[in-house]
Amino acid sequence: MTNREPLLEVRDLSIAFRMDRKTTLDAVRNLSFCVYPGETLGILGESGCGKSVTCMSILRLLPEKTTVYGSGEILFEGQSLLDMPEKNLRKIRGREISMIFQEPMTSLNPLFTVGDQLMEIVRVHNPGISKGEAYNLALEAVTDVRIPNPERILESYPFTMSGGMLQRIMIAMAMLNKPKLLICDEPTTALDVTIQAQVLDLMNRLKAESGTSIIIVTHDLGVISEMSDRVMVMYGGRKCEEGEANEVFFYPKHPYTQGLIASHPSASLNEERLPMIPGSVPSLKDMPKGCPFNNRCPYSTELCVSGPPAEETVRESHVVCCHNWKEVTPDA
Amino acid sequence: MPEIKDLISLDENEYLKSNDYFLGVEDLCMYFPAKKAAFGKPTSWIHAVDNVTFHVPKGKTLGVVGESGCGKSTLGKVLVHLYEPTSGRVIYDGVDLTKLSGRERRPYVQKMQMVWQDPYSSLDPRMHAGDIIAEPIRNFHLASSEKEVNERVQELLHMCGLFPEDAEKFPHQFSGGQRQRICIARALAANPEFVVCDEAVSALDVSIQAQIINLLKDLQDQLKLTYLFISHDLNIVQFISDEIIVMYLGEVVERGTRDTVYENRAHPYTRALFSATPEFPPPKEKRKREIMEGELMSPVDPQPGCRFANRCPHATDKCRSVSPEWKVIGENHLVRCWLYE
Repeated sequence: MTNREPLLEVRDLSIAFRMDRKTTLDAVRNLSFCVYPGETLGILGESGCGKSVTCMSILRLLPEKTTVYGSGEILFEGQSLLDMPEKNLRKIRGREISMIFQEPMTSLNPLFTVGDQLMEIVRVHNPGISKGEAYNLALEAVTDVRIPNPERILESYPFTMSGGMLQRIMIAMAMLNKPKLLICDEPTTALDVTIQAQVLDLMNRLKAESGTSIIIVTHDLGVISEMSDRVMVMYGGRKCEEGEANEVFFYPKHPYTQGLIASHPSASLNEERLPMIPGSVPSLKDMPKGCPFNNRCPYSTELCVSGPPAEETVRESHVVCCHNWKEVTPDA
Repeated sequence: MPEIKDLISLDENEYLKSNDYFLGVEDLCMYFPAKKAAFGKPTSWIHAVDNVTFHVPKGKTLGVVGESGCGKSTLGKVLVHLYEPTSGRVIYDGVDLTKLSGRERRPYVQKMQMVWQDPYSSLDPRMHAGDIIAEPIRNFHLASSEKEVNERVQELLHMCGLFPEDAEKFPHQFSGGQRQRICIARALAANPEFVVCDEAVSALDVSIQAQIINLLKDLQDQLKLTYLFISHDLNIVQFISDEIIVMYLGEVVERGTRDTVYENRAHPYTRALFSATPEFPPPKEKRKREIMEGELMSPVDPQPGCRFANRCPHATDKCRSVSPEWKVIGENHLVRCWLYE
């Protein structure tokens, strides 16, 4: 691609969870990707594919006691986030990198007003700031996300507000310190489509204004194609495919990406049946050996069982992790 | 209001002529008390379903779309008689169900079944899958012996793509998609003619959604089922439905066959709803969306006038004061909006 410096670089990351003394479950295996300044990376995958774990690991929000970082590193502007002392990491969380979670209803503290919670973030990261200045910044942030009547909202408690309103407050909160990277884990899954449209529009506008990079994680093909510049498809803790959004959606190379796209109802409206991927997503306990998709894949060969596929370049900036991708035809 | 009646009966005659008209809902209202005065007399009401009228032909699927809080789930629950409607009629195969006593209604309870949204909470965790499926068979005395019950359970498991040994398992041993298959098998165990699917695939993964939708379609062909398919996902509704009603705040704002509604979106709300749904595959050119400002009005004692008026870009004073009436704008295509005067 271009020789831009990546803002965030994840190299060969493996994450496992300790279940008891002997067993660990691999949630993410040998994952590498980059996020460049000003771009939106969409991570697409079904439940259990490791997409949320990947996001949480960037800010090291996973429970320290049970999480094993097997290998790899996460570099943010060249600094390793995994080895950083907690004290330094705190300066990055919420200031350089912030995060929006799926459930806006449960991510705010019900005992404090929205204003208190917004001002807390300003004051934690800018110790010298006065209360009045913090209030003004909070007010500006809430006005920025187009909430009507911002003064009143700052004095209200989270439970008095609707989901769409709360998600906007979460965005205002995440954008308060003008972060360089915004991680959104299923930001609109809990919202109605009309509210989802408002929130996505808002995110795109803020990105255009501030140049923040975004990682958006979702299972919704529509949302991801609308938001992302580049897409990474994950399955069973591994990367399947990564590339420019249009390239991946119009010329998918991995059988899983093809299956997902084909099973979207809008592609086969006048057909009797939807094309489907047989079987179901394996649980972490019984993930097949080799390529995790081999037991559902129509192109599976012995090679796929013997070992995980390596990353192969289809063309510039489009990579696929499949042993047999050359045999896989797009309209199969 | 005679005008509305006329329009509706016009439509109804069409169905009666074609002799396929199976389930009819007329002026159905479901209000819940919002506030109560002393001695428990309600003083204000939540209008969850308000004057809803539609017909479903036999063997077809009616899709119900709308945002959360528009009353689509309440509508489904009224149909399977989990709620007693405030007013209106539910006509099933020529019989007005709202006039029946509990005992008289029982055979219809059996014929109308429901598949719920969340396959994780709609199965009893302490019962074997086989017993869950056998319960309706035993309850409605559909088998003469225990052996027959077991045969029927095996048949249903097979029909829904599960294995014979799955009857001995507990719900927690299944994945989400398999659990939804059990829910479908349980609904079918009562030999229904009409099934309400309330967001039946919303909680499932994308690759599993397609499997369940195909299963529902196959079963419909095999057993000549009639579906009421409730969903907020327009793509899925478009795939599975023959006819569609669009609901907003308890009222139906547009109804028609699938293609008329999807191609000539008439009501401003329908247009906004479609425009808000992200398109896939992505369009070659970025389109300008109609983003709807604001949120739903409260359904407690709604003001007169169109309920969409506070978010509608075309709203006039008339919209805010007088409730719009049904207007036929094409073959099998009705809309409630003052724009079509």
